[in-house]
Amino acid sequence: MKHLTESQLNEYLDQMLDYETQQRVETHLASCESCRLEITELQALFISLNELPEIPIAHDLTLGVLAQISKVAKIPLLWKQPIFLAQSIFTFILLLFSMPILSSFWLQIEKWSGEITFPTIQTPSLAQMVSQFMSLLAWEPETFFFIPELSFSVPTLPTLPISPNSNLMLLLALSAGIMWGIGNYSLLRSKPEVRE
Amino acid sequence: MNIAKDRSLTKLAAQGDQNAFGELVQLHQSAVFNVAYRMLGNRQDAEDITQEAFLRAYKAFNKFDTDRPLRPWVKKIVTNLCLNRIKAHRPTLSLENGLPPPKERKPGPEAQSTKREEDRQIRAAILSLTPRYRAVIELRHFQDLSYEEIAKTLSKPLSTVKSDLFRARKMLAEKLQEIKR
Ligand SMILES: [Zn+2]
Repeated sequence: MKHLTESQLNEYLDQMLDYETQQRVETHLASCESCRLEITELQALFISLNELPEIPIAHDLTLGVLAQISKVAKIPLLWKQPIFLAQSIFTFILLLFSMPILSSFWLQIEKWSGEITFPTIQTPSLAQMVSQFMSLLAWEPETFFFIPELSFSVPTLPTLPISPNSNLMLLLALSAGIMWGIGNYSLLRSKPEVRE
Repeated sequence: MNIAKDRSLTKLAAQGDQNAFGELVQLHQSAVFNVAYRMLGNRQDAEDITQEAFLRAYKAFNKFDTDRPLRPWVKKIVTNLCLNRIKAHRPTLSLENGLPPPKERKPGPEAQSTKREEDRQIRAAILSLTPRYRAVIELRHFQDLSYEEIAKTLSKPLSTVKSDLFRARKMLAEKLQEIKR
């Protein structure tokens, strides 16, 4: 007669065997003293482990854990905050409206030669912009309400006291980059690596 | 333990609610501590590593399905932390009040009888196992994980987990026989 394997004995106790194998193991155990002895030994171990009591913890760790957690810099999910969302939309609209101004500045910058002056810029009126926007939606705003004609212009800006050249621009860009890096570093420094 | 309360606290904590997390620590610290104590055999180390396990859990909340119970997850985390610690620097296998090796013991009837003494010896027997065997005993017998779950927790093949578990049980059973003799 072939004795039960170690794995059969263990899996029988763990109830991991299929019904048929389980039946065969039980039949064998009923007739084999030596395998019965082995399984009794294992069962005794199971009982001992099962009866091992938990010991009470001596100190409450709650405060310690919370103190450490507050050291973990939390980067809030900005997109979920309404204020941030509103701010973003507002910025986007402002950017949209300043496009004409920015573009004419850009033309100036492109033609940069030593000293520059900024001319008065005529921007499209707000009403023009809105009605353009509305016409995109196939909507005639005038028939519903009156939009006052708002016209604004950029005042003549003073001549820059320094004469920018490519070296200076490079220096400025570099400092901006460094500042940006320092800012990010200080923001992210205390964010620890998350594993598991 | 109230499962619904546990779940709602877990969800709050996952959103960054520190008070909710504090309550969770209070609820589960004892269970997590006991895992560490069985694995390390030293109260101070066990408390330290329990604290670390909760910290890890907090930081890894984005990887945790908050519909599942928190306790088994933190217990798995602490088991792995203990394994790492044991591997990093083998600790002294002392249970606070010192540990006479089982072989030297000539148990008189008075010492033999106490359940406390028996518990201490079982703990000592578990601690005498090498980390890999200790871990499978812990995960199977105290955390009730299936073979597959143990394999996943320890990142080991199923066949290795089984043979480790069966060997660990054999060794422990022999030690227990020695104690009882
Ligand atoms: Zn047999």
